[in-house]
Amino acid sequence: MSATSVLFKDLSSKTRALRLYRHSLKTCLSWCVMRDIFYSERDRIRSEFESNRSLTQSQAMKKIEEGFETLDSYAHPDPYIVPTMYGGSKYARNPPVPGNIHVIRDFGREKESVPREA
Amino acid sequence: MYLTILFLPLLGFLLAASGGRFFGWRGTPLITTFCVFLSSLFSFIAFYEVGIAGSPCYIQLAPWFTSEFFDATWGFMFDSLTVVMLVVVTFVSTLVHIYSISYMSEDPHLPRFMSYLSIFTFFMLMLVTADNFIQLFFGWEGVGLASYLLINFWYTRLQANKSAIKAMLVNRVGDFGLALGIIATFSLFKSVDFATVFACSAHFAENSFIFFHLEWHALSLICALLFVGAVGKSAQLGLHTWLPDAMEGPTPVSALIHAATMVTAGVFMIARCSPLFEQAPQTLILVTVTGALTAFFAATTGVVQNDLKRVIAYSTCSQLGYMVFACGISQYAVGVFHLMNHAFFKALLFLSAGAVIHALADEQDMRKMGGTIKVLPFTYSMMFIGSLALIGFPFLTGFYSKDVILEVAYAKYTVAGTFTYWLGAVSALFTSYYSFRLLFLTFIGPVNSLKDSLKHVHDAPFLMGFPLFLLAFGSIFVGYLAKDMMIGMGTQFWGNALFMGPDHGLLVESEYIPQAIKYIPILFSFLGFLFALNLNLLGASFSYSLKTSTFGRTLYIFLNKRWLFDKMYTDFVALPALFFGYNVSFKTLDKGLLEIVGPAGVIQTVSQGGRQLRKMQSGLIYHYAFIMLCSLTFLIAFVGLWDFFSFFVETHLYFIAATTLVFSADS
Repeated sequence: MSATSVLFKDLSSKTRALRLYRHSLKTCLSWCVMRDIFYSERDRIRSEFESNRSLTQSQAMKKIEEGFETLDSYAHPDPYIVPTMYGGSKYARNPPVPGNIHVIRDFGREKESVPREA
Repeated sequence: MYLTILFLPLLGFLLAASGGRFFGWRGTPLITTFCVFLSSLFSFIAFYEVGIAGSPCYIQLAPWFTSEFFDATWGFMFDSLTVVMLVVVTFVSTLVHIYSISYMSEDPHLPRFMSYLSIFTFFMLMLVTADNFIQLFFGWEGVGLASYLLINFWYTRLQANKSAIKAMLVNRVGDFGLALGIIATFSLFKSVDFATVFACSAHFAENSFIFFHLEWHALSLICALLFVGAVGKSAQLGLHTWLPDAMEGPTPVSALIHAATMVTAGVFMIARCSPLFEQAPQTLILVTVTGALTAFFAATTGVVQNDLKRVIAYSTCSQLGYMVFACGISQYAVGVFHLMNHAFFKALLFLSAGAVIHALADEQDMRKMGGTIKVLPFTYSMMFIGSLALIGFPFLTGFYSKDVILEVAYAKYTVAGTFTYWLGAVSALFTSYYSFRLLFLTFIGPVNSLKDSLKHVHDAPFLMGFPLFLLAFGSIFVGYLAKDMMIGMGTQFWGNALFMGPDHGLLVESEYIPQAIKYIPILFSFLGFLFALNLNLLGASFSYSLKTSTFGRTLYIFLNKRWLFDKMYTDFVALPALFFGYNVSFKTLDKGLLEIVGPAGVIQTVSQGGRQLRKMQSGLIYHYAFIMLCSLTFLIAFVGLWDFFSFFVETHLYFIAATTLVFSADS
């Protein structure tokens, strides 16, 4: 069982297939820089999933497992992460202070020194 | 005036650190920037007086350590090398201060940030003006501390904590080498004063030194140890791992510390110690090869990075390699010239990168950029100038130093020289590739940005744009203007600041190398541009299939993961150290052995012994008689067999124990 597959081992085949599809797209997006390449790759991945739609349960499980193995072999060493998400370059940077605390930036200019909303 | 250059940034720090909250978001940046600006102004005057008018200045301020031979004072030496560094440090620092006012304006900790920038500037100035090794070490450690604080500026980020600790630890390895080098210097010269040590270096050229029970050529060993310090600080191969991770800090920090100034401290130190290195030819070969390997390694790693700042970080690492191998072939003036030029265009690149990141709502990944040339034309122009200067485009700043480095390397006509020339030339190809890749992905290619990133996109405001403009000016003209002064034939600029052995001059020889060899770096740079154009813009689908092929993926992962250096260090250094720390020193020694024989064990043993002893107090006379008989028998047997037992008993221990008792009693 592949490393990614282990994470979803308790899920149903349908959910596992969905997760596999989603992670395939995300991994593909990390490798592709240009969107047009990504769109063609997305279509190719989609067609591969569509072609296996009519498989029986046992065949589908086997196929999903193979899919996870392929996904692992394509794992990107530096996957794209949205800056504000966990692992991103802006994650946990200056977390908001509690509502009852006000940051006064310049004494005497309290009204002007209210920070602008990001 | 000379001392004011140093202490103005300290004053700025003290005011910002102690009264940052009082001075607020307007006052603190104003105070710190004004202090550093004045310092920069005086530095230019000092540059004129010392560098151009040829009037070095030496100030002994106060005694610091005075003990027998060991005499380290607070002394400040302003020679040509120092004033070049002063101008670089204070000028870039002033621009970074100005830039930060706008870049960090939304940050709730702006006063703290400005105070850190100022204290860094102070320590860096202490480092470059030091007149002895101890003061240099003070500045060296100070900039390390400031670097740690600035990398960890956003201390709520786990990744920032890890990066800062990593930078601190890796630098400590280098600093340990530097400290040993200073100790060895004192041991040999009986002084840590630069003037004394350098004046006597030729006298001690044949001395040997015992280190780890091996006999070494003294100056080779000292220089090798000092070089370990330079390897750590200047992120050379082996101790380079901290520099890319240091990009966790805010971008102005990356521009000031991890591009223009602090990382060049290693190169400065080698140049400062040129009289020592010139007497250590074996170490010079080590320096040359390490520098060349670093240049090559970092350039190859930079080609597949996706983080905008990391690409520039590896570029810095690579250029530092050039500077170090220039020093390794005894061309210290060329190395320092490249250091100065590099400070301009690298600060420009980093600050431009900051402007892009700022404009795109803190997006750093180049895969999610593209097409910004239309919305950020000024920033693009600045980054374009910086990139051209970096790749050594003819007649821009980088051209005048980078090409000279490669030419003198070839003109060395040794294995090490030719080796470094070819590695440097191939690195020039990679440099050109990643520089243009960065431009194509960030500015010219199709738009790949997320919608949120483009919501508030705007070009650099004045406070950010003005420093970029000045640095761009420097990136275009400084090389041309300073070439003859700093590396021209027979220039008197350096005076006694740099020393080169009489048989190590290569500048004349480099004029006579084959013309084809001179063209190779330019040709390689052009090839790099073509590759970048074809793989990232015109033939992006070919590039995609190339990197997703089995071999392509393996190579991509190897390069993207920095030749797996970090994994190797984790597997072979960090994990065994953690295993030792937890299983051996903590569980076995601290919690095991020391608890058994230590205070807890003694208490337990005594109380258990007491309980056992109580049982013997039975009140029956024949029990006591039996114990006395046994004891007497044991005593007689022990005395009788003393000749046998004395072999196992160390009598000195009695003396130590008795002495300890006496002193304990006294205390």
